[in-house]
Amino acid sequence: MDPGILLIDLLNGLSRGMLYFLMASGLNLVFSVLGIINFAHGSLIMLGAYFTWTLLQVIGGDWSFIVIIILSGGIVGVIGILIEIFFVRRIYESEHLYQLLLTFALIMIIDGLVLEIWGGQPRSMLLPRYFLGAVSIAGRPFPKYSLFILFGSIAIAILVWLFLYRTKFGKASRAAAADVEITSALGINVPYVYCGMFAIGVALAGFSGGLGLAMSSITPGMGAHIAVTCFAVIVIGGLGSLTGTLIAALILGIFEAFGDHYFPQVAMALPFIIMALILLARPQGLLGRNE
Amino acid sequence: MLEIKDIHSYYGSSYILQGVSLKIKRSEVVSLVGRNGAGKTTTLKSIMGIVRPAQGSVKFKGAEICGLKPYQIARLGLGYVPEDRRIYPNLTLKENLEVAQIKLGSSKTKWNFEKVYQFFPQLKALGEGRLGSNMSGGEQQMLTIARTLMGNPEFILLDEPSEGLAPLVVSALADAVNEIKVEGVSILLSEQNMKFATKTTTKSYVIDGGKISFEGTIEDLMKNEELVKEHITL
Ligand SMILES: Nc1ncnc2c1ncn2[C@@H]1O[C@H](COP(=O)(O)OP(=O)(O)OP(=O)(O)O)[C@@H](O)[C@H]1O
Ligand SMILES: [Mg+2]
Repeated sequence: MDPGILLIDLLNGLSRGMLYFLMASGLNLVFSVLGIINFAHGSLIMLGAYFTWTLLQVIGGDWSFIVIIILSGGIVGVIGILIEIFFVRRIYESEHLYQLLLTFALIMIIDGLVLEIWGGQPRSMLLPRYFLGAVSIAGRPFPKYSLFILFGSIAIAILVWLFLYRTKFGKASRAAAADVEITSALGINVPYVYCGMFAIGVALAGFSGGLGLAMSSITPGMGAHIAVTCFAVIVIGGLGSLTGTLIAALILGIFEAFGDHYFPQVAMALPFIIMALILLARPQGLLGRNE
Repeated sequence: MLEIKDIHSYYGSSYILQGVSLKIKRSEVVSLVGRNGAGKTTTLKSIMGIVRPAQGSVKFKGAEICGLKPYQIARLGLGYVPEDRRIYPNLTLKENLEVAQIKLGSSKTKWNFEKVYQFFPQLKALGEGRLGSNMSGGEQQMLTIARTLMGNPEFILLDEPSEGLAPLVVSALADAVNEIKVEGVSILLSEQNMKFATKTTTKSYVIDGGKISFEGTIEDLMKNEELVKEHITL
């Protein structure tokens, strides 16, 4: 085997894996702090991609691209605040069935709105010129945009880590995840923490949509498909563990990259094969707590 | 400073507190004794707003606090130390303290890392990076108290701090409680361990079946053999 090709496959896998991490991390953060499984997470990722598409049409320009992606994440985050205040807030104390119903309803609302606003035809983004083409790594071509995804995702992952471990808000949200009653009795406004955490999780979704779907064309129903991948990632990694999510996302990305190359006929089923194998050995996921 | 008048609290449909009244003055340390299930924790939770009394009044520094959220009550200067040493296992020692920090403006802020570590040198010795889950029971109990102090409370609700700890640790905790008292913080201590209660408090209430059955000095309580036998395990 050619080591150059192996390296390219590996980089491809890392780039995909980091993107999966970015897409799934918000879902896992929201689950571990609020205890809510947000089935609409994939639809919010898709929404981020549509905002990016529109802003690219309106603002355009090569150098504004990164700003546009960040802006799209911000807009989706604000939508997240509204969703939390008007809907999610009402079901924290309710049975899990209500979460399922509510977030499923959100999928239908978001998908319907997207269809209404952007129409059913696939949209593809105009990547800035400097992201077109490839760079040469070990004498092989590697798409510039994949490299951007890789480094962009790593940068965001570091920011998320700094936020959780270095800011008072991040520490308070980890505390609330462990013990709501005590956290509240220690003077922390837990509903405020919940709202902020939901907004951040959702903003991460929007951001990852803008960043990750710029290469493919986007369609109104794609949210559900993305959500399935996100769920596979957080279940493999272990619910509640962000490190687990990172490891699972990288495993999935790398297996997919090599799978596409060497076993294209089973590549589609690969995430589920991996999930089944890992869950057979560890039902709680790689780093999940034993319940 | 803290006045509870005739509170009634429920868990679902079970009627737990059936008219509890307590009065604690500034700088006083008072114990609330009673056996398992008597309603000690429920009383403290009702004061803190964790359990919402169906009826009754809780006044702190003259203002009605019944009906406020726990975080609002905490910010008024009421601290809560839960039973069973509920520290955050996933946070480091330093983070446990940091989360509870309530800044009140420099003149009113009495407790900070330095002072808390001076108070509990054992905690400092563990190192700030130590995970909450990786501490002994006594260390965790000290951390729960230190954590509450970081909020600069004027009044502390302390729920069974001595439960399940070795005698030597219990005696060190009693010293710590007495020092907190010296700092001018009032305390309502829930206890089953009469030795601990006698060492730290002078006034006492006995709770039984969700009702107050005795109020007076600890000496009077200990003299009343019948009451002691019936309600308290020594
Ligand atoms: N969450 C709850 N739901 C229903 N009943 C409860 C709940 N918590 C406590 N109880 C009941 O309320 C009563 C009073 O409990 P509480 O915890 O206040 O007692 P306690 O005096 O603190 O006892 P202990 O010494 O065991 O801590 C008990 O009969 C208990 O079974
Ligand atoms: Mg109790």
